[in-house]
Amino acid sequence: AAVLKKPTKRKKNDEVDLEAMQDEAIAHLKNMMKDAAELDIDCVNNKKPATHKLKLLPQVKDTLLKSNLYDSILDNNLLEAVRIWLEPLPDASLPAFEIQKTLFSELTKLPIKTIHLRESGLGKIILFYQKSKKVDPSLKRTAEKLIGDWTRPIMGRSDNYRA
Amino acid sequence: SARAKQATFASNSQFDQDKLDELYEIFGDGEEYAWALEAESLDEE
Repeated sequence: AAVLKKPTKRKKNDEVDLEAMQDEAIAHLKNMMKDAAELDIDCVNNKKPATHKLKLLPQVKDTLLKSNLYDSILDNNLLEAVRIWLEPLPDASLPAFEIQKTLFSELTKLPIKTIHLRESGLGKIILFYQKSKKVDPSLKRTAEKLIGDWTRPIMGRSDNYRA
Repeated sequence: SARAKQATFASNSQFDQDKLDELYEIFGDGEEYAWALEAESLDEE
């Protein structure tokens, strides 16, 4: 029995280790995303080209593409950094279109629940994209779809249970 | 009875208010990025 039990226990530990490593990687990426956003804000304030987010975008995209990381992405509130990346800059300009397009595309795939929206503030920036006249029509449509998808569970709930 | 209807209405109103509060909590009241929307309007003028 001990021989049979050992692999199970080991597998469980491996899973825990993997989860912890994924959490650490996502937390690290989140910090890098926040730093890049702050540096871009500084650049705009100093009238310099803001490229820090763009340079980090391939790494962000690679991470968001991995469906096995979805739980870790959502649990570690990476959506907060996504919200910060989508925010208008101090001169009211929007982030590079490539950033908008990539993040919106990945947001449609993530299994985002009400609790993740509450923690990240993501819903507020998506509402802004739906309202803004500067936003590309295709992204406006995506924003509308996301808002609909996120509103439906709240309006359709048969009790006042908060997800 | 009228009292029962009133209770149901109050209950439903509270129910809807809870949902509305949650929607405001998630999507905000539209003021969060109003400064950027105002800047857009100024650019257009």
